[in-house]
This record gives sequence, structure tokens and C-alpha cells, in this order.
Amino acid sequence: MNKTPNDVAGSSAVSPGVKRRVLAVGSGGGHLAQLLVLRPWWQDHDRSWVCFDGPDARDQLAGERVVWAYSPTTRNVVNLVRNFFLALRVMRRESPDVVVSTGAGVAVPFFVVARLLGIATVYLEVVDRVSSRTMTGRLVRPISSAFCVQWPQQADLYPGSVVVGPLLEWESPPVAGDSLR
Amino acid sequence: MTASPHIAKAFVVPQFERKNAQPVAAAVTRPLVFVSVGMDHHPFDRLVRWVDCWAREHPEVEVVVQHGAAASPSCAQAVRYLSHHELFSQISRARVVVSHGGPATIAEARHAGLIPLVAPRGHALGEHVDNHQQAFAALLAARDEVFLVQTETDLVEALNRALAEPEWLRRESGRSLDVAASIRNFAAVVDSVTSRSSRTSAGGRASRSFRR
Repeated sequence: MNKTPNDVAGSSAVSPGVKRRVLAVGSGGGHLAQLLVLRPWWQDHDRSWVCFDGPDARDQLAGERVVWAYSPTTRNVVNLVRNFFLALRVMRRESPDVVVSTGAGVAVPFFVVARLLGIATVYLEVVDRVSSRTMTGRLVRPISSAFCVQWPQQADLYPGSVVVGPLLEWESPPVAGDSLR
Repeated sequence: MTASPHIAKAFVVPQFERKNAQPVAAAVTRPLVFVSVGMDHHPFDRLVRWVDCWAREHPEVEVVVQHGAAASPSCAQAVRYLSHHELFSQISRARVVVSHGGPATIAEARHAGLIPLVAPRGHALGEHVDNHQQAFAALLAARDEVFLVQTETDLVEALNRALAEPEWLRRESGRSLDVAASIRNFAAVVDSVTSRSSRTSAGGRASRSFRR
């Protein structure tokens, strides 16, 4: 049976609640873009980012605390091992309350280390994989504190996942050169 | 590589040189058809060819094709890759956006108040690792968020219609997807597991989580 989350009733903004230390992990491109859509949530928390270096990532994370991970991660065991040790160092230094990720493969070593250190992990499956599971989703599912998906069709792929709804940012357009307000 | 977080600095994006760029007469602004195949390393020659053929028949239209790994179009203006900012800039001045089935271009088009024409990449044609773009595009088309074009005829008819009826693909951005609700739901999930983790883990962590 798939779960539904408790919706925070009433307000259009996300109530800050308890201020947390968040470690957000995402490869660049669409993975980072979907983490950025969550800005109304993470802007009220202390956060640091793990991402792949690149022009778009630097633009979009300008002013944020970042650590660049080793890339590529697809079929690259050397970088997998490097990112595992990077995760150990980052997690000890940042001491997050929760690690969140939209993938891709860079999520795996960070979720493994978080699990070892007793830190909560939340995975959010990407918006465009609606007919089959992703490799990252399959790997992190057993070690995630919570596994979120965006569409009901994805919930069928991951029994027990939480459908949060789509995170395609189609509302107010970004101001060029000012991705992080 | 250091594990110490640093503050990221914005990267100044170089302008990519455009091929086949034509001077625009000062008094006349041609409508822009912008086409994007995204960043994937698989070539998407099929869509680029379709658009290039159409562009040849329509010199009154400015056509810019971000072609990625595919062969450069011979008639339409060509650019291999675009930064996030350049993509936004092109889309915001476009009359029509034609896109592969990737969420980034589709989202930028919807941002700009446009329904994009979407031609999803196909696995059998060597255009992607699998058919996830087909399923994603179909899901969005069923919700009237994109207009699906599966054949060259579909694309040509849609382009002709979009130019004849400029309002056909215009849509007020926002409200069709309740992203704010999705964000609230995600926040609630994080709260639930973080509280639980804090209660069960050792030492000072519990006090941090419940501090107001």
C-alpha cells in the first residue's frame, strides 16, 4: 500500500518548523534542477550541497555552501570509492540532520555513509522516469529513511513509496543571473 | 579534492558561436522557432532533419536549433549546446519551442507560458538509453501540458498552425501543477523521518532536532 504524506494545512508557504541541517546531494543537470525547485523548503534550513562542478551548477548554487563530488559516477568504481571517502569527510564536517537527494549515482555513497552514521536520508525520484525504476532508485531504496516519488505511476514501481507530487517548476520565471534569490 | 565546503561563485558563461546566423532586417522581427535536443550524448538527427527541412521552406521564420550530438542543420541556425541562461533567453523570445522529451526544456517553455511541441527520443532509433522520454511525454500530453509530435507530418502541421494562430500554444504559466503542495508534502516527509532518526540516535542529536 502506498502512503500519502500529511499535508501542512492552509498556508501557501512552507512553515519552517524546526530548523535543520540539510545536506543536498545531486549530480548536475536535471537532478540539481529538481533539488532547486525545493527552495521554499530548504531556504529555511541550514544547508550544504554536494554536486558536480560545471558552469550551470556554479550559477545555480552561487552563494551556497558546496562541495564538488568526483564525476562521472556511471560505471566508474574509482569515483564511487572516492565519493565514499568524500562522503565520510563531508558528513563528519557538516553533521547534517538529513541527507536528501534526487540522484543520480552520487547519492549512493552518501546514503550508505549516512546510514552508517545514523543520519536520516530522503530520496526523491526524478520527475521523468515514470515507466521504469532508475538504477539509483533501486540501490538506495533499501537504505532510505523515506523514498519519495512525484507521480502515482512511479508509486507502482516502488511499493511503499510516498507520492509527494510533481516538482516541475512551471510558475514564476527565473530572473536571469539570479537563480538563487 | 577538499571536503571543506566553500561558497560557490557564479560562472560567467561564454557565448557559443552560432552557425548560419543571418542578419535580421532592422524593421522586421521574424518569429522565432527554437528547437532543443538537450545534453544527452545520443544524437537526435531525426528531429533536427525534420526542422531543417521545414526551415528551408520558411525563410520568413527564424529557426534556431540546439543540436547537441546530432549533425548540424544546414539551413536553420545551429548551436551545439546552451547554458541554462542561454536556454532561458532563447525560449523567452520564441514563438514556438520544439523539444525532445527532457524535463528541463519542457519546464523552461512552460515557464515562458508556452506549450512546447515535444518529439520524444526513441530507444530503437539509437536516440536514448531507453524509452523513458516516450512515457514521460505521453504522461504530460495526457494532461495537456505538452503537444506531442511523433511524425514529421505532426511537426509540420503543428508548426504551421502555431505560426498562423500565435495564441494556440500560449498558456498562462503556473497553476496546472500544484508544485507548492508537492514541496509542502516533501517537507512533511523530511520532518517525519528526521524527528524519528533524532529520537533513536545517540548523544546530542535529539536536542538539536527539537530545538526551536
